[in-house]
Amino acid sequence: MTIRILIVDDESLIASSLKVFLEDEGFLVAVAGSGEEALELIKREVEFDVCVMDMRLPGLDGNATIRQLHDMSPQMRFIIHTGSIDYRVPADLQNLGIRADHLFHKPLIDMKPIADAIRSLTP
Amino acid sequence: MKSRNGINYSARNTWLGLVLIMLILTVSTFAVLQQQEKRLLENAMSNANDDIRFIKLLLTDALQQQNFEHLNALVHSWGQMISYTQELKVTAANGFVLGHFQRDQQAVRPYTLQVSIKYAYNGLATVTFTKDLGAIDASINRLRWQLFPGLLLIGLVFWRMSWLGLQRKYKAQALDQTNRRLRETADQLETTRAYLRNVFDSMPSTLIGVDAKGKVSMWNMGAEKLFGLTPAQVIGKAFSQAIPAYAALMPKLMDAINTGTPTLIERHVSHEVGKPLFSEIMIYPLHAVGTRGAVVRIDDITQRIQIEQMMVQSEKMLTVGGLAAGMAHEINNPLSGILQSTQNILRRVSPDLPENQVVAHELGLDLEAMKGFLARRGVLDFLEGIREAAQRAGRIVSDMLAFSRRSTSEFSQVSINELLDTVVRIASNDYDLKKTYDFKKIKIVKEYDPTLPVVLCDRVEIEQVLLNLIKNATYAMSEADIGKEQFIYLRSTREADSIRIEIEDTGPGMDEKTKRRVFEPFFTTKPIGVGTGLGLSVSYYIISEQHKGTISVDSAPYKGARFTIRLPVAPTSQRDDHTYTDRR
Repeated sequence: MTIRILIVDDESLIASSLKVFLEDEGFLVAVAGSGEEALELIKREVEFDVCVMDMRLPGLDGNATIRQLHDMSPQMRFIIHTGSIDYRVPADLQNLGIRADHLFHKPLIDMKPIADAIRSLTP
Repeated sequence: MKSRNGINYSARNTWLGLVLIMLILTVSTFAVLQQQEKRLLENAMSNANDDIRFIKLLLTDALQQQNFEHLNALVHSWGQMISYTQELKVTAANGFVLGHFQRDQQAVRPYTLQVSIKYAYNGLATVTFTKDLGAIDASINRLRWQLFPGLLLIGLVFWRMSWLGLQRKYKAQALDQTNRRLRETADQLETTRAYLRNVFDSMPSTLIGVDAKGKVSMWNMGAEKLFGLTPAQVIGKAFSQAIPAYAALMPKLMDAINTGTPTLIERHVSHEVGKPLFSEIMIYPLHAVGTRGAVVRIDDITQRIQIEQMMVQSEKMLTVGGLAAGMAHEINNPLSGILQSTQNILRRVSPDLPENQVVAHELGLDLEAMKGFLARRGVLDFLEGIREAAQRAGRIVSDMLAFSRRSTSEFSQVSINELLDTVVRIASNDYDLKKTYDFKKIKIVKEYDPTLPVVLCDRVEIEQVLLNLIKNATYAMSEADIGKEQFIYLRSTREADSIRIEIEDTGPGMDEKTKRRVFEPFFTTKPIGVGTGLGLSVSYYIISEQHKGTISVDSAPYKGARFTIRLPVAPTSQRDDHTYTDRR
């Protein structure tokens, strides 16, 4: 079964280029431009296996969005893709299984490692 | 004043002494004379007794012969014969004077003796013998008048001697006092001198005293230390000869002495080895009456100037850091868009992706031909160029961010020797290095101190610093590839409170100008696009600001370059508190 991915990023070029790359890698990809938009999708009972989350977002930030998404859809796994160099994964999110190798800093010269991380997160 | 009174007292005392001496002498002389007189009298009386006994003997003999006619003549002759005879009278029992001698002069001190003489026929005669003992008086008188001047002389001599002695004593006392006072004054002077010397020597500054002719008259401990010359070597020499490095000061020094105006030279630069690079010089002319000259104070302000320069440097870096923190996110987002899009484009024109084949077939397009077209028209190179440019921009941003990334540093106990090994391993696998230069051609010489203690530091950051230095060394040597074997020396040494790491290469080295700017942000000798000019300034920041250590460079053209890092074994503070005073 095809792996379903949700990209949350307010920067459309980043979101769309990542979407294209991941689609080329064979994933099924949807994009949300904000945390609220992502929650809206889940409420409409769209299901995702992995979420690639930006941190600095208008409105709800990445961390808060992850917490709510996890409450609504506990099976969902997360990858963090951020432009903040000093970002550290908060302790409660580490408890959700988010580790250092699920953290990617922008700009990515090569997106392949994200694809590899996604595969490692899904059975 | 006191001494004079003392001497007056002593004079009066000697006069009293003289009177006393004279009194004692007079009394004792009197006693002596008395004694002498008594002795003389006794002597004379005993003589008189002997005389009269002799006369009695002679008379008895004369009277036995009944020779009365000659008796008077005999008495006369005896009276003449026996000295000092006043009267000699022989009277018969019937009162008839048988013989009589009487001197014309009146006796001064008559002494009369009487004896009876028995002779034949019951005859009896009386002899009266009177001797004048006045000669004793004369002799005593003579003695008296001989003794007194002598006594006077003796007294005077005594008195003079005692007076001189006293005077000498008082003089000695006065001299003693003066000497003592002199000694005290000298002691005080010596104490004052020692105190001044101490003050002079305790000054952290270098103090040099010069006289009106500009000759060194004083040279304190600071000067001794700074110039490595003892006072004996310089005192009396002209200032300009004593310290040739400061000879240029001479006109100003003389000017200050002649006009009496203090002169300040705020920043004196000397390039002589062993002398302070920067010094502040103050010339104080001496005002005191009778002394002309000046005191020259030299303060080594090299450290202060260097700190000022470092502050400027750090300010620059902090500005860069602050700027970077604000910009990083804004720049990284568009960079992400560019890089990700470029990667997609490169993938989507490649025949390797199956989906590309599908779409191309649908459109009747020959992917191989398209790839050839793109390659020949340089499109693929342009894309690669975009990718590299964006990548470089990303690297600049992340380097700049290093200045603002302070609160996140994590300190741990790190073995520098192990870290150096790790860095060498990383360098030998570094893609960029392999691309430009064969790291294997470089011989790494490790000179580690096996007893090196662990250091509390941020492992990642120190690793970054060391890697940067090794990469720079490799780059420099590849640029100046001269065909012979190149070396990088890695050294670690234990120092008092710190450890020293040296990274030395045998590359082309650098000139003075480059050396001075090497830690400056955005300064690079590499071609545009190769270096960001931030590597060493980040290293500088990491070592000096975050680890309270030092990093310095030693290099000359064609002499290679040696970077020396010192890390404190126990850093006082891990955080930067922006105070520069407590850095040492």
